[in-house]
Amino acid sequence: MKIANKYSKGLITRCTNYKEADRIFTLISEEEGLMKFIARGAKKPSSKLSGHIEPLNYVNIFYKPSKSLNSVSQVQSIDSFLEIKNNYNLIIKAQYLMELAEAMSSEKEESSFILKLLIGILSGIHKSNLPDLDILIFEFEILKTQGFGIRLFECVNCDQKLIKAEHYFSTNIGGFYCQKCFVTNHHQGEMIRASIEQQSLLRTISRKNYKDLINYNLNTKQIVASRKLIQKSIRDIIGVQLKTIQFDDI
Amino acid sequence: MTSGRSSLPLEVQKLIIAFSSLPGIGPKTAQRLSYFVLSQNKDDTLKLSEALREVKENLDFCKTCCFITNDKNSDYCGYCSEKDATQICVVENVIDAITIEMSSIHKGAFHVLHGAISPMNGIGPEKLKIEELIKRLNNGETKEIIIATNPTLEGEATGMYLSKIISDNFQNIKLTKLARGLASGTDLEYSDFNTLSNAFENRTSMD
Repeated sequence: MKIANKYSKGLITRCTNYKEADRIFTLISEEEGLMKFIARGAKKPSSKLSGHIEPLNYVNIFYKPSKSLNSVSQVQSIDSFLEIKNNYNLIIKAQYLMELAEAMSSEKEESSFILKLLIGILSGIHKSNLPDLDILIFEFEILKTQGFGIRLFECVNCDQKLIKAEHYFSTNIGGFYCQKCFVTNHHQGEMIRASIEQQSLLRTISRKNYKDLINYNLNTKQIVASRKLIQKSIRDIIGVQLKTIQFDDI
Repeated sequence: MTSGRSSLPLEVQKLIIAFSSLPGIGPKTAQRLSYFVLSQNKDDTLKLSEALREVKENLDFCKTCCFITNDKNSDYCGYCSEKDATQICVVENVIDAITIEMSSIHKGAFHVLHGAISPMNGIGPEKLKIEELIKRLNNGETKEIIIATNPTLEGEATGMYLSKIISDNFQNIKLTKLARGLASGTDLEYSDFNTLSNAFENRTSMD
């Protein structure tokens, strides 16, 4: 039976060369999450696919579905994020975002929200004065979308409302312990002390009051400290450290 | 009798594992290659093994340009000592250097990085032969560096990293990169935004 060609839209996250002139690439698509494709002859300079099949390209793809590798027939770029591609630091940050989005996506599962988040941040990060804040919001939102939202208002052990004070963050539970519960649970996994400002920043992000963040007089150091907290939580959720973390100078 | 690979003689199992370690060779292809070696005549197989042994025993990468050399003990290979070191073309791989060399366009020396920066694959600048390049530039002989990394995301990132390092530390060295734009034989209709943007930026006068 002849298989009908299909259409998909998504962001190319990684490419590898295969055989003489082919390229294999991964795409985070709207409807089917992570998808793998083969683009035959894409390495040849005369190929109509060549320039479009690059990491960090948002593309429309027309392909022939297959059990292993879907075979690409046509590709059309929607956005190539040229502002990011012309800046070394932004390339490194974009690679981290793509790796995180990949780690949070699955095959054959709808990923439209992850893709929307990813395209959103990639479209605006070059204009941002605090790109680390944009990434922190992305990290926070992607965890929430995948059901790993961080508990910021109540203690993860006794459910009591947290008072305004420094609290310890449990990376494997993904939330804060109140001072009383910390004493009895401090040996359970990695605990990181979070300042009142750090907690306040995360709470503002969780309420989506992004406009309020302007009043916070945020500095990079404060954002970086909060990002480290979330990143350790991500590491515990996915079970491995993302490779790109070591290159992102946070 | 046990099934699968464990029932095979140890020598064949070792050969399959050895073939699987090669890039692009999966377990099935490794098995096929191993059975081919078994059926091949002894002389041809020994020729292959001798060639592999000679490559590893006699060749190494030059300490200066990181190209292939058969002079393991010298700091300079025959290749980089005979080339004009005032102009160094920096490439990702040995095969890129050979391709440019075959075209006879570049008369200067080469420097092979042995890869490109790729955070998603865990490859950072420290894994490339950048330190060797800096050491070479400290001699003061070089007047121009031509960055000829691939026009991919990784290649561009590597080029940008190199240009930052070189321009910060060697203000007298001219930094250039290979032109980006439309390739011969392509259709404008199918060009991507990056290629088109580069082609417009680097357009040339027809006077």
